[in-house]
Parts: sequence; structure tokens; C-alpha cells
Amino acid sequence: MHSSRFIFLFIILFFSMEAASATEIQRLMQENRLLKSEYQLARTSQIYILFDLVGKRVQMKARGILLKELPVEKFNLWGASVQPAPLILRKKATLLKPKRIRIKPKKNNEDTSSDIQVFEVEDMPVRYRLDFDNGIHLYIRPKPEGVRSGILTLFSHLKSYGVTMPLGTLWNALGKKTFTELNIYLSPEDARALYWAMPEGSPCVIYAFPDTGQ
Amino acid sequence: MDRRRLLKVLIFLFSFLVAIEGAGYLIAWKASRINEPHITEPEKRFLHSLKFQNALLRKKMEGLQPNDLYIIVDTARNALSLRKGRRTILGAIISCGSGTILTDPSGKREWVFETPRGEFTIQSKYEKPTWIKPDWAFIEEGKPIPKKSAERAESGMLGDYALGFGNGYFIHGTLYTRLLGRNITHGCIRMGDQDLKTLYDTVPIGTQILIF
Repeated sequence: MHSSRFIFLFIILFFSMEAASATEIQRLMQENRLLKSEYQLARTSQIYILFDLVGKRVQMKARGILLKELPVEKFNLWGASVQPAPLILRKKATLLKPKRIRIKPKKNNEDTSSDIQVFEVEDMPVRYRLDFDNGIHLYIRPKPEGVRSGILTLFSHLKSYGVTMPLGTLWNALGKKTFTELNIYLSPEDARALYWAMPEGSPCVIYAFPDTGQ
Repeated sequence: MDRRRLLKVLIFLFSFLVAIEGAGYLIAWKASRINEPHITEPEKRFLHSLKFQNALLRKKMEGLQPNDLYIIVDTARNALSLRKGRRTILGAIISCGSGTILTDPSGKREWVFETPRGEFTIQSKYEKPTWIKPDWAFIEEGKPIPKKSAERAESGMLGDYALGFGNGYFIHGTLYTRLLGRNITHGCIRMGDQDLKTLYDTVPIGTQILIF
């Protein structure tokens, strides 16, 4: 009786240890890939962005130095998983792209010193899409606050879950390509700061360990 | 009869849409299942070496960080910080590029007044600097571009000190201190007098600047 209990306990323990070590290997592997990718970017003179969804933060870095950190309110991932490899931001898309102001040269010594024409972080959008290689699309959205923001977020969800996610997946599958859509919610100030700091061509790494979506 | 036909078409279209959407959902679900990284046998065997590798990579990354003084410029917040290792020695409100565009009336040249981003180094240091006005300054003021270089010199505009970081960009003083904290410059970085003096006295040529 006692020996059968002992064998049962041993089996349970053996399998749970095996599972734990497999998860540990997986975690270490992903961490290793992340560190290799980051080291590759940190060796260059470029500013790079690390979307660390495991740590729920977006980090702007250079030479491994943390320049700025933006907390992620929440996020979700759809489609193929993302490996932590260096990616290039191919395109920034938004409904109303912020426009730079064109300066008009002064005429006949006119005084225009009181006219301040600037293009500042407040002019940046809070809702936009970042397109990367390998069919990865990252949507930045503000944390819904108030009725207007809530309605806009609802429309964004309808568009994503009803149109872009399933049809994008199908369209890419027909071309034998993968499709990933990530939604990241930031505070409006942080969403603007990220748009400002990420010109097209910026190098990035997305670290989204399996089953961390929420 | 027509109504029945319309209903049939609507049902067909709806079923078609549901099938397409369903296929999309199914493919995405399958793709999300393949999210375990592929682990090879040698990798499994070298679990300990993996831990060591990760620690080594972290150490190597730390090795890339400057031990000496370095400057960080946040162009969105118009903030500059002078650091040594992880310690902040100076925090200052500055003014960075306005991001505006000026086109030469001939249409041949265009300038975007933006502070460059990336990694730079302090290449030169000047006391009582004289501004050699570039072409765009005359175009913006609606004045003819002078032929003699001496006519371009203007003293007092850059404050008491200037630190060059390449391609004609400087960290310098300003007459318009009330505009510090706003993106107002033609790409240079403007600082208040006291902060500029501290920076000038502290950083040597070769100091790293990280601008984002």
C-alpha cells in the first residue's frame, strides 16, 4: 500500500520536474535570443526600442543604456508568435499624420518674432500603427478614458477582430506568410513620446514570451 | 419570389463572410499554437551553459556603457542630463529643433530644422563664440545672401560658450531663455547660461552624446 503511494508520488514529482525544466529551458532560450538581439543593436550607434511585453514596458535604449521607459497599461497578441530578433520599423501609419510647418521667409523686415511655429511632441498622434518585417503590425492605442476614447477603442476592436486580424491572417496565409497583430495600450503622453522617438527605419526588438498576452 | 431570391443571396453572402472570417481565426489560432521556440538537443544539454551565456551577454552589454561622462538629450521633453555611470550630475531644460521646413525661394534647397538623433561626440569647444550665419538664416530673414564671409559673422547670439557635435550642430547659450523647454531652434541645442557653464566646464572633447 505504502509502496504504491510512493511510486505514484514519484511519478507526479518526476513529470512536474520535467515540465518545470522544459519551461525553464524555453524561458532561458528566449532570454538568450533577446540578449543576443539587444547586444547586436547595442553595438551600433543607433537608438533602439525594446518592446518588453514580459516586463510590460517599452524601453528606448542606446549602447545598452536606458534612455526612457514607458509602462505598458495592457497588451494583446494575435496570430503567429514573435521571436525576439532585431526588426526594422518599415512604416508608421496614422489617420491624421502630423504635418511639419513650412516657414515663410520674412518680407521687407516685417517683425514675426511673436509667431512661434513649432512641431512638438503634443502634435503627435496617440493612435497609430507600426509595421515591421515578417508581417508584424503593432498598434499603439491610448488607455481608454472617457466616452469618446471608449467609443474609439470599441471601433478599433471591431475593426481589428472583425476585419484586419482574420482577413489579414487569411491573406498572408494565401501568400505563405505569417501575420501578427499586437495591440499595446499606453498613456496618451507616452504614446505621443513613442511616435516622436521612433522615426521610420528605427531598429527594435519585440519580446513577447508565449502566453504573456493579456 | 424576388424577396426569396434576395434572402438567399444575403444568406449566401453571410455564410461566405463567416467562412472567410472563420478561416482567418483558425489559421491565427494554429499559428499561435506554434509559439514554443524550437529547442535542439544540444541546447537542452547545455542548460547550464545557456545560463552562463546569458550572464556573459549581460556583462558584455554593461561593457558597452560608457564609464566616463556622457550626455543624454530628450528632444521630446527638451531635457538634457549629464551622467557619469548611472549617476546624474546635471539636469537641464533646453530647447531643441523646431522640426519646421524652409525652402529656398529658388526651390533648389530645403532645410528641416530638426535636432539630429543618435550617438554623437563633443568635437569642439569655444568660449565667446561667433555665429557664422548659414544661408538659411538670411533666407528666413528675407535678406540677400552675402558674398563676403565676414558679413556672416554675428557675435553674442550663441551665448558665452558653444560645444560642437558635428555637421554644424552646437550646444550653445541663448538670448531667449523664456523659450527654454520648447522646440524652437534650427537644430542646435540651446541651454540657460548657468547650466551651459557647468556643462562646458565639466565635459571634455570626446564626450559621448545620445540624442533621442
